[in-house]
Amino acid sequence: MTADPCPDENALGMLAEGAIADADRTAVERHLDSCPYCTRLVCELGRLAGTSRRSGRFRRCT
Amino acid sequence: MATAEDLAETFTAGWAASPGTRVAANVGERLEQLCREATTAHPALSIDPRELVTAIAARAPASELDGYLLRCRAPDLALAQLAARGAADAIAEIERAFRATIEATCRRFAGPGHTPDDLKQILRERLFVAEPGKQPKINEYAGQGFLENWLRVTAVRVFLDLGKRKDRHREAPADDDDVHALAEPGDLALDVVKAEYRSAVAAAMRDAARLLEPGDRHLLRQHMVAGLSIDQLGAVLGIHRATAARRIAKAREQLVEHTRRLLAERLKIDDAELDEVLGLVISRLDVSISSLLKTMREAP
Repeated sequence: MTADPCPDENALGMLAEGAIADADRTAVERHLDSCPYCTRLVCELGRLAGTSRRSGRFRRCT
Repeated sequence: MATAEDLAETFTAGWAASPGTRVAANVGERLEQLCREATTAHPALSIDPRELVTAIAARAPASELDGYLLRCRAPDLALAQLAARGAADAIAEIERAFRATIEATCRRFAGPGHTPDDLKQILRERLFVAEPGKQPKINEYAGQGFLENWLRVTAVRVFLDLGKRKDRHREAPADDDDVHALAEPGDLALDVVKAEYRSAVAAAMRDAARLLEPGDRHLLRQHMVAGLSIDQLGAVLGIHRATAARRIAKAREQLVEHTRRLLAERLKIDDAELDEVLGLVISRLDVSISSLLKTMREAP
């Protein structure tokens, strides 16, 4: 169980985009390791991103 | 059109993180540029530069203001702001521009309880209709990162929560209640190891897993327990697939190394016997890791 708050939609969106600062990435990943709810959320996002359609993928920084 | 000076004043007046602090001249110029980007991207929408700057000021941090403004996605923020105050044309534009994303997510979560159209309606209400005393969800978009990505994360979270109403700031889903439960030796596929060593090996593997970097352990868990591919992990964590593969391989290697070291310390057996035990562990490593990480979580 975690004590720190779950990363919000902005943080997870920026994580997927590759636009998150290194320190923030470390903190988010640490949280993901300890939070079943966020693990499930990321898992569902990953499954959605794995579809062949462009609609399932996150936009990335270029 | 408001001047850079006007916009800087508007920003100063509304800067929530540092009220009243005057900003450098280049901030006004950057705000003017952001307003121009927003109006150019959405010529049919009525974007008020001062309103947009007020929204930026409400979100900008006290430190790293330049970085925030550099990364600010003004067209997306303007759209979100207009939608938050109920502008029908902005809401329609969000639903048009991101229709493919919304529909793909709704299809993914549709089931016996909800059709894709049901989910689309639920998401629409969640995004654009305010609960009493609150702002609509769309108002939480920070203007950093693509609105489309924010929308996808929000949609998945809304649909997951439909099944399990939960306080985001706590309480795990019911089927994950016993997150600190530890795998037993039998669960770790250690039946190939001599009975006298099984408990020690299971304990060493658990302790070894605790020594991994939390982020690497998360990757390993998503890959081996949830079954996410390297490409899926790369996509959702914003890293190259080669990086995801390297981190997973490193975590596996470290798990074995830590296990070996801990066993050597605890069992006091000779190297040949240790190698034999470890070889048996490695032969069933995938099964062991899956069981181990499914049942083990660390407090941060």
